[in-house]
Amino acid sequence: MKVLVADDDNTFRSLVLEILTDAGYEVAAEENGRLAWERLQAEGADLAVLDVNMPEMDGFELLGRIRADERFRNMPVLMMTIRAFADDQVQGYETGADDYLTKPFNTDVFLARVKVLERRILKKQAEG
Amino acid sequence: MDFLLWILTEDRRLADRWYRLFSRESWKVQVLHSLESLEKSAQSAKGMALAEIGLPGLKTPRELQNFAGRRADISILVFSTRDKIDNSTISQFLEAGADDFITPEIDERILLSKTRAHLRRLLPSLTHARTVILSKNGNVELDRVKRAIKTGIKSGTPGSMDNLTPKEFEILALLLGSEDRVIPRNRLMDEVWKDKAGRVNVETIDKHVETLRHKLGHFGKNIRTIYGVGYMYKSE
Repeated sequence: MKVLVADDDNTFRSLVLEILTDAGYEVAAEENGRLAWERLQAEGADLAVLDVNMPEMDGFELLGRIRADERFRNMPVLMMTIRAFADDQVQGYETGADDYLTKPFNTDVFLARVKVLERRILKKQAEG
Repeated sequence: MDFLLWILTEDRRLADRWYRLFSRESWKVQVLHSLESLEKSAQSAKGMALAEIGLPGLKTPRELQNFAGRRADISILVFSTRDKIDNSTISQFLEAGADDFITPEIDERILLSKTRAHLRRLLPSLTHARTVILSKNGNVELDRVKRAIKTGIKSGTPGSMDNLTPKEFEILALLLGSEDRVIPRNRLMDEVWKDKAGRVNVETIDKHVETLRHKLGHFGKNIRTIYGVGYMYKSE
C-alpha cells in the first residue's frame, strides 16, 4: 500500500513519514503540491495525505487535479491543516477529500483514519 | 431500495437538531436507539448511520466490529456525547469498522459536507451528494463549490453566470437536481429559506423565481410554473 504525502513543514512531513513507514506503508513524501503531483504521475499511489497550505501548489489545487484525473479519481485522500476554519473543511470535502484532520493530531487517530481509507481500497478490490 | 440516514442516539435534542438538518437537505432520516433496531430497519434499505458510542450494540469496538462484519453495506459514523473520550478509544472504534468519528458540536456545514462525501462514495449518482449538477440535455451546469453556472455547453453558445443571489442559486440547484419533477412551493421555502421559512410567503418565492428566470435568459423558460403547486425544471 503506497501513500503519497505532501507537506511543506519538514518536521511534520518527517513525522508523518515515520508513522506511516513504521505501520508498514510504502511512502512517497514531497514538500509541495507541484512535486507531489509530479511524483504521483510518475509513480502512482494508493492513497494520499495532503497538507492544505503549501507553496507552489496548495492542497486544494492538488486535490482538484487528482479528482480530475481518471487514474486517481477514486484514490482516498486525507487532508490536513493547521487551521480549523469551517470553510476550509467544507471546501476540502466538496473538492473531493475523504477525510480531514486538523494539526496537531494524535498519532493513533491519524493512523486509524488512514486505515479506514485503506479498508475502503481493500473492500473495493474484494468487490472486484 | 431506499437510501436512509439513521441517527442513533438517546439524546433527543441532538436527534431533533440533526433530523431537521438532514431533512432540509432532502435526506430520508430515521431516529433509532440501538444497533439492533438499525439492523432491522436496514433490511429494506441501504444507508449511513450516525451512531452514538455507548448505545446497546455499540458499547465496545468489538460490538461494532461484529456489526460491521455482518453489514458492510452500511456506513457508520460514530460520535460520543460524553465529555471525554480518549484518542485510543476513538482509534479503536475507527479500526473496528467506523467510517468516521465526529463530535455532537461539529459545525453543521462540516457535518453536511462530510456526510455528502461519504454518500458520494456510497452512491455516486445521488443528486444531493453531487457537487456538479448537469441538466439532462447537458446545457446547464451548476457547480456548488465554485458557486458557478454555465449555460449553452452542448448547444455551442457557451455562457456563464455569476450574478445569482445565494437564494436564486439554491432554488436553481434544487430544481435542476430534480429535473422533470415538480417541486412544491413549501419545499422551496423549507429548503432554501430553512430556519426562516416561516417568514416568507408564496409571493416571495414567485418573485425570486421570476428574477432567476430573467437572469437565466434563454434557459429561463425551462423553469415551468405548475399552477397552484410549484415549479419544475424541464429541458427543452
